[in-house]
Amino acid sequence: MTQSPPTPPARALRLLERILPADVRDALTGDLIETFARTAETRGVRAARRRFWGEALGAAWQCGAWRTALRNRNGLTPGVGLTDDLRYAVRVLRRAPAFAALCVVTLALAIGPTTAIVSVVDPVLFRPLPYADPSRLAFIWERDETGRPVTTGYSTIEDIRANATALASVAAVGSWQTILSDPADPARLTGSRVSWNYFRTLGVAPALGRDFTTDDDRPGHTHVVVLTHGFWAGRYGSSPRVIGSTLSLDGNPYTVIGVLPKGYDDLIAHEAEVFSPLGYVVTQPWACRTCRHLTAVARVRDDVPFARAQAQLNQLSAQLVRAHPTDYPAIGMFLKPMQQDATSASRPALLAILGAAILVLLIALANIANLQLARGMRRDDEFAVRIALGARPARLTQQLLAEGLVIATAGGALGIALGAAVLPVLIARLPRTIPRLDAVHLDVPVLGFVALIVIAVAIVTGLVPARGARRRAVDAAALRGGARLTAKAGTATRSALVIGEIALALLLLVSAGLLARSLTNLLAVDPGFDPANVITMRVVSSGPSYRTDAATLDYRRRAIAAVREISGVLDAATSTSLPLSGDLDRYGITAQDKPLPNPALAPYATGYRVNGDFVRTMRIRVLAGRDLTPQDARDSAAPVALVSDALARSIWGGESPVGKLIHVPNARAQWTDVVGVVGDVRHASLDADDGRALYLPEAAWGWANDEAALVVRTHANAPALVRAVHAAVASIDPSQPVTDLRTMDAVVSRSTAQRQLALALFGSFALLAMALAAAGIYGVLAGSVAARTREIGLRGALGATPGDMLLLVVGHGLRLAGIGVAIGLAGALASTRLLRALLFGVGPTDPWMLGGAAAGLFVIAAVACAVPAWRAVRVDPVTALRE
Amino acid sequence: MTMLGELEQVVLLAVLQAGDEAYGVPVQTEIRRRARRTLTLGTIYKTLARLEVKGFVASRLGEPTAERGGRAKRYYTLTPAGRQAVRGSLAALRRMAAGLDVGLQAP
Repeated sequence: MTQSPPTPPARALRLLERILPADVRDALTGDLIETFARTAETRGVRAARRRFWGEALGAAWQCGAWRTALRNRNGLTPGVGLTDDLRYAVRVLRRAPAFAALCVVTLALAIGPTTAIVSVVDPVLFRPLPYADPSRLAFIWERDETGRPVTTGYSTIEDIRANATALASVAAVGSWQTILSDPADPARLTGSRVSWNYFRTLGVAPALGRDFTTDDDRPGHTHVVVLTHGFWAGRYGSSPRVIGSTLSLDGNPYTVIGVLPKGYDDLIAHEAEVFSPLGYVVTQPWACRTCRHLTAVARVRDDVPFARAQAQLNQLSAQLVRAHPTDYPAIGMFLKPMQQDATSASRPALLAILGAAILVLLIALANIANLQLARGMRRDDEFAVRIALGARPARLTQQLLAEGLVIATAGGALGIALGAAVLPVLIARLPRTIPRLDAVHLDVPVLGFVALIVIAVAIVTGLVPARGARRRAVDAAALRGGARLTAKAGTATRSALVIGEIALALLLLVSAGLLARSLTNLLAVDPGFDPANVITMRVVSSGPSYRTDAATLDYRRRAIAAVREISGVLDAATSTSLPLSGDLDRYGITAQDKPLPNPALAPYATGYRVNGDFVRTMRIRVLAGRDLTPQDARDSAAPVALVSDALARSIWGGESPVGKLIHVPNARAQWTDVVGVVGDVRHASLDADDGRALYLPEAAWGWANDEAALVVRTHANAPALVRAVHAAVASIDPSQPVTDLRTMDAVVSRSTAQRQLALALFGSFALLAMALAAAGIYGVLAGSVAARTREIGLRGALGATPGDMLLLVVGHGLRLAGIGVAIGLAGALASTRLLRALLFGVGPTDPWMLGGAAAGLFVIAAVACAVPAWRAVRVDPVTALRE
Repeated sequence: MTMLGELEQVVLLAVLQAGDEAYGVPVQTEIRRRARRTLTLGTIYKTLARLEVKGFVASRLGEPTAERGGRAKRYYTLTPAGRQAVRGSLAALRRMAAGLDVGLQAP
């Protein structure tokens, strides 16, 4: 017979080859081919083909059940569910406790701070305010001559209320500090005086009692208070009987009419305890247009876009300026969405810190993927065996995902615990000016965020190693030694991850460096006074015994005298304003010889109303003329004042101001004589202050403030005298509270709190990032040295010196570092300007900082190279080659 | 003791019957000849795989041959446990059938 033997149907054969598990594939197809030939001989080719197809389809049909059986043989627990994989993953990780612990701790260190920071950032910046329809609420500010927003006067607010049809309602808020004259426990309370519709504008109703009404908001009828929930719970034990009871505030009886709901958070007075009606009418002198001490809060009508409301306010402002040209410095008003405006000061810092935390998270992710990869390479044999036994690649991926999920969940749980522990510390260190800190909790949205991170971590740590593992395992199954050939692919991924880590670490290091530099620059700023060895506190004089200004001033003078008796005290004085403490008290000053066309353009200066020698106590330099003397404080004395250098310059330019006459609003006399010029003091903050200030005896002012700051200069070691000073002041009148007892150094330091916090966080993040990056470099090099032991041995046998070996390994490490640093520098150049709001005296791309951080990372990289390099040097050529 | 399924019994007995030549084709042939049932090779191999997991059969690869398109045979033998299982299974059947009408008696 010349005819070629019949062949089995090729397509059926291909189907079988594809679907059958590897270990029975040959046996079954071989059997079928054998049968085919026999059947073709006895019953014809057609019948044989039919039978072959039948068998092939039957085998395909069985395949699903087959896999289960085979999996059982491969040593996995039965079932295809994720639960089995998870159980197996836990078992696998328990066998590698060091690896698992390293991964979990790394993750926790990254997730912990991120959780804490997200807990702060989310409610402060993003979550809607706890008011009705908060997106319609806004602040209205006037515009000053420099284009900056400023507070407004009552008459202007009334005009807005009457004319701005785009606004559903407008409320006025003034700050209020008052003394609760409780014989057992006198206290200084913080709060606001508000127009009757303030809470209605916000859409907040009292939880207990009633809201203010128009009847309460009339002159002479304002002696009612609404308490915040916190104050009510703390002071009155949440007793509902407090409604209708009477409090003595500044010696006057106030009736408690309501208590605000628990979640109420005041954006204007963050630590508000009491609210009382404003009781203004436009005819009162303090309700004037230039009496800009009120904040305007508005609700924009639902059907009006903000832009149109803004346009209407600008139009109104133009009309007001036309009607009252001397009352406004510039045309225009600002309508600013409430939440955005209230958080604008803290937003850059918070977002920068959040960004840093996310960078750390990315580095941790890269590190864990790297660890997994390294481990994956060591598990090549395991994967190869499983693939050879018929495990589908997808099955291996699922397994690795399960391992990733176990690690991520453990890390996430530990991270949340760490975050919960860190959060109170973080909140305590945040500046009190950040609104809504009360709303900060580890809550469901934050936990949801962490859950998302955990899933992302699981996917990254599972999928990255799975890709390489599958490829290598298939190769290894195909031919022995295949893993050697493709190990390079995994190394490349690992190198890329390390480079990424180094780049991110550099970014953090540069940021931390910039912040550290800013802080040192800031603390090096001359505040204009000497804060060392100065004690300060707030003294108050309120109640029936201080009805007259004379009594108040007498109290202050006696306090100063009592403190000066203490040995170790050099000097003492009081002032209504304290530099860097947050006090803001500014007045427009006009000179007699420099009349202004528009008095609203008069330069504003901080007014220090002093008793005792404030200038000498604070060691403010006297530049020209003389200091104030005790004679100047007498009622009969001619009205005199000191001006700061900056104020003198902005009024008189280069002329000497000594002997000139100025008009100070609210001073007793129409004209005040300038007797001296003193150095500028940083009042508002160390980084931004115009330095314009005015010092005059408190007796020369229209009234005596019911509270003032007492400053005490001591010989040395101020903290040791705090107690004695406090006792001396309290001995004058024990019924008056003494608060805010601090050293002036602490006041200065606190004024930089936000930057200090940012620096502390960035600094610790940068350290963590560097440690992780170093670990990454070490891991890659150690793995590479281990994989190349044979090659290194060969080099040694061929005459390479230990120096060559060192160069080989260190060169590899530094090459990775070099690429990472280059990418990091590019990233830093592109992104550090986001930090600009936090920087002071240093540019965001300061070459010294960039260079220093790069050098620092190289040093770290070199250190990380040391151990692997040492190992390479110690490789014994004979042993390595014999292996 | 693990009870054998009916299919497992049949396949185990077929492996025994095929003796030294117990790979797919002879096993299928023995079942067709003796039990007068046509099982696909897929079913047979699936059953064998399950029996192997249970430890009742062991397998080894033979040499590839030309008539099989260069594919190796996989030979199966019963393990001691497999023999024990068949014995137990048959004994159970016998005991179940004892004393029943003639014709229902097991071998």
